[in-house]
Amino acid sequence: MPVFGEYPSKTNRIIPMIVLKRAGEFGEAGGHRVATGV
Amino acid sequence: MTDWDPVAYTRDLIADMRAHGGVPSQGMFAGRRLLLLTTTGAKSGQERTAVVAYRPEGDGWVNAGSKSGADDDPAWVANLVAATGKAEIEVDNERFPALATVEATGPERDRLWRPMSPTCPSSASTRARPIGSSR
Repeated sequence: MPVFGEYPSKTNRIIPMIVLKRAGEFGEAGGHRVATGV
Repeated sequence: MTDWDPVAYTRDLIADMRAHGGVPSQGMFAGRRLLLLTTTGAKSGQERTAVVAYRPEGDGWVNAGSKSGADDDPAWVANLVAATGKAEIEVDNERFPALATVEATGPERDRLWRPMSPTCPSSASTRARPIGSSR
């Protein structure tokens, strides 16, 4: 078992990025979306 | 080598963070910016807390769903999507409700990733794929 943080692998996948904000700061419409890049 | 217990490791790390103003005091993460992200398991319905690195940006916190370079996303990404972004986070020992935006592909995702990639050891993805490419 690798030690946590030793990064046992690298990946070719596109790593998703996440932006967190305090609830309410997106406005009433809400801020969640899953961007597809389209 | 002794067996590594990820649950115990995470529990101890969280305890260390909470005892030191939200910043780990020892180990490989000492002094690093970490936050606690609590989501609801998409399958289990149970609360799950993950320790994630972040970069502050404006009034938000940017995280990479890298899972240390694994070939699949961390479970909390799916949890966020299933919960339409609803989560709780704990930063510097302050816990509050949060909303997440998941940028899976596209120019905004690439913009967010770019500052992370030089220091993120799982950044093979940016070397293997041109910025802006898709699966």
